Amino acid sequence: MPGLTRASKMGKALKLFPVSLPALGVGIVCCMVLALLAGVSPFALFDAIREGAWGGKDAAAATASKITPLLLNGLGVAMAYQADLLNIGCEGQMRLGALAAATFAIFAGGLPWGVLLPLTVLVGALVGALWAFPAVWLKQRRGIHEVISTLLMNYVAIYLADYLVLGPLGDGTVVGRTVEIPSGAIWPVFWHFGRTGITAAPVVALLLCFLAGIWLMRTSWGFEARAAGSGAAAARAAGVPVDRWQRRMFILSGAMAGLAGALETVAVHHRFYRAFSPGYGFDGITAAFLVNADPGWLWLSSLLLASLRSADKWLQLSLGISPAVVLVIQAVLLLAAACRPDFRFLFARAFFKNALPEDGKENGENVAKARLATLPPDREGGSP
Amino acid sequence: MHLPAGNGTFPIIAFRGVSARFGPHWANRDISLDIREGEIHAVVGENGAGKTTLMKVLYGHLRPDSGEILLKGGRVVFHSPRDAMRAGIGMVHQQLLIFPQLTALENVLAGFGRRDGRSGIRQRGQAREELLRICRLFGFDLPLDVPAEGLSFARRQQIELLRILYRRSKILILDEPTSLLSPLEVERLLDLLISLRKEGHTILFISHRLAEVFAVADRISVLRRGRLLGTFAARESTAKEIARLITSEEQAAGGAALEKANEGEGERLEPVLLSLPSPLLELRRITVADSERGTGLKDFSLSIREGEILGIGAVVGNGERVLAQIVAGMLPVERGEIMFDGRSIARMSVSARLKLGLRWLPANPIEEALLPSRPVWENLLLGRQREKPFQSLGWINVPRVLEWAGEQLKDAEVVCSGLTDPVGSLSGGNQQKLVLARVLAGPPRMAVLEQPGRGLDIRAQARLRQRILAMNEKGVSFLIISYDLDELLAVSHRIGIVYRGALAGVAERSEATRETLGRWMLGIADETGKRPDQPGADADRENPPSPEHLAGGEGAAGK
Repeated sequence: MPGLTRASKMGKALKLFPVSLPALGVGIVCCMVLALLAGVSPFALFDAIREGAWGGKDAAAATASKITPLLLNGLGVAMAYQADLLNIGCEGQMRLGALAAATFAIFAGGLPWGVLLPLTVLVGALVGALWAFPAVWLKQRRGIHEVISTLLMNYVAIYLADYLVLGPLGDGTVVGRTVEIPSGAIWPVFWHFGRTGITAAPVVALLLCFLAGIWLMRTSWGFEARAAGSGAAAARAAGVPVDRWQRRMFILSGAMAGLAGALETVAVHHRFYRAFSPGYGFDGITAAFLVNADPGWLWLSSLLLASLRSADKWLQLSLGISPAVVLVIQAVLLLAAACRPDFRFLFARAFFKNALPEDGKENGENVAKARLATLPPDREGGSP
Repeated sequence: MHLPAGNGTFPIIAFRGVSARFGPHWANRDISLDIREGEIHAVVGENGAGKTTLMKVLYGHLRPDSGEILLKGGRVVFHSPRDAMRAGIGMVHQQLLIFPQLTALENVLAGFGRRDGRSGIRQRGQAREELLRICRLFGFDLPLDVPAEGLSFARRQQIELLRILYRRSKILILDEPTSLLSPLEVERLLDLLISLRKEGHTILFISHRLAEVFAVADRISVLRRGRLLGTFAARESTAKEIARLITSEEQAAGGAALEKANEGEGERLEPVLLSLPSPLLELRRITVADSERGTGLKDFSLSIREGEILGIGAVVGNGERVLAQIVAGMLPVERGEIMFDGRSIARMSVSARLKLGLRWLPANPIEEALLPSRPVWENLLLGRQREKPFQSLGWINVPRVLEWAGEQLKDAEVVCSGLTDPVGSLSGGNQQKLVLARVLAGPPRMAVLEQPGRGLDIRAQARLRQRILAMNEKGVSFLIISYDLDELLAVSHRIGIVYRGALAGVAERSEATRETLGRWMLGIADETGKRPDQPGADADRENPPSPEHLAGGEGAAGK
């Protein structure tokens, strides 16, 4: 567009960036205070995180493999959120997906690899989707909020998986694991790097994220799905089948979580492991909200969270501070991201006193402005 | 007829040159008005005439842009409703402001406690006694310990009244208190107003229904387009005169101007009806139940001919929105049939109706038609995302859409800094223009427009009228729903009025006068004595009661 001033060009660039800078700033300042409280210099903390996550080949490989479940769970949360639904149940969907993939691979081990490999992953995704569906069904039929139902279904899923793996589907030990899946279902390491090496799983996850981003922003279907999520009444009036899109997006969301579990099974552990997840499903929520549920930017938040996750032991070793600090940092970042509109409000009030709606005035423009301030900012650009 | 203040009665409130403005629009302009102690003072006028704004100014919701308010002769400035409450003013809002989960008792005490230093429990006990006393005094039949959400609208309204009375407010503002009440409840409320007056309260009463106004009011102030046309003693004027004043274009200051009221303004565009073939849209005996938000439709029939512009007028909440929503497919009909172009569409989806060329402009675009957080171009595309030039094989052709959207914006004269601005950042008028552009582009076969001129300035309104007429000449039919008779008179071939969910009457434009339409809107009988609407139960109350008959204070109630 011609005639843009430099300031507005910069504004446009900032708008494209999904994380609001005030939120990020507040998050970082909180982390620094936290470091001081823990008795270390903030810079030493950041350096230790860098060192722990990327300081050597082994560490880097471990970090890279942690990105996969974060990307896919983040994608799951983001897809649901684009249709104005919150899927808090990724953890359960992922665990059942992982167990289903392992079980399928073990029982269908005789199939040729060209069939077994993709089918195993698909079964994981399918079970994740099946576990997500009741939540959206209950919401549309009975008005039960999906946050409550998905949250509770997590517990059902976790204990169901525990029961199955300690009983009928387990390997007979008390470790809580299945037997190893047949080699035909295992994803090979294609880049021998560090101790574990890297499989195609993170690449597949990354591709899925980018594809989802493009699908949402550039296709009629994605447009309808987002319309259903950003104004249900208006979308309905424009002939968009809002309920149907919400169902579809929620099922997709569960499928992504199930896929995350299946990939853990086939690419990392080669069996279902009861304790395989340190809470990837919940971290997916953080990953999605740090980038405002934009699948195209999930790589950034997943990278950050994977680094934090994989550096926690190094913090203990090098600085002698509890690995739990990592959890606190994550929580602070999530809170900062979730509070974003309010930070914006705060900063706006400080700098542009007159720009804000006055209390009590109910004229349409101010209501719209106030409402806008509570909505996630738009950022997909799309200028010619 | 215009009464000076005084008569030995002391003005308890005096507005002095009060003006209030929203952007370029004056909601109140230079209003000077005395409210006498112990009177019931009705404020009447069309929608958007500035009645509610004036009351909000008095109640401290809004600060006037100029002018002042005198309370008992002294100048007061209310910064918030709290100030007004402390000065003894209470307001019952049109949309009740009560906590649905709290009981009546808790609602009354909310925001009131602790100031006087008493402990909560003792205060509750004393409050309960006091509330029971008030309930007995005014005949409220209200359970104090049941959550408000389970109560009927009338009882929830009593909670608001109770709150005011408990605070010993002597000045009561009631903003359209009867709009959602059943006829019997209306009578009870009017009864209550009269007994409140006996107790020495001063009451400001806003209503669209003149029968109610004449049943209780001592004096009536008429507002039109933000200005005060005059204040009249109820016993010296008739409902017909007031109705004419409310709807007339003339700046009538007295009875002399009333005769000229029907002649209207100069510029009137002539809609030409090209053909009179079969009906394009036909509603057959539609019934939709009443809801929280207002009346539904009762056995409603209407037909619009191909190439016709039919205007529908109403007072808010008489079923006019329901009419638009069932045609658009947003509300199911309970009984009856909708035919469009010879096909039954009553059970068709919204998108199927859109494909037939039936489009809808809702009354609140930001909530019902726009995605506020999405950019302008996406909002223009909404509803066309599957149409051919804008997508191929499911991929949205963004450059094409942007080009088209740019043209639409230029045509519609929408002011915004770019196609990527979120729609929520546009002004209300620009949002309206944008939705209009989307609804009218194409063009449709028939458009249902609710308040199409809402938020538009006079020039934009004129352009819109021209556009509607130009499209109509090419065969597009319109169903226009508006609360502004001028808007309807300017473009419609025929005008119908909906009153309490039924068609009060339909008139060819050549025969339609503001007076007739205004009377239909307010539910007042024709000169012939023939009533425009059906029900028998509240028949007596609908006829304008003669002021002499009611002056004693019994009102319309008790019949």
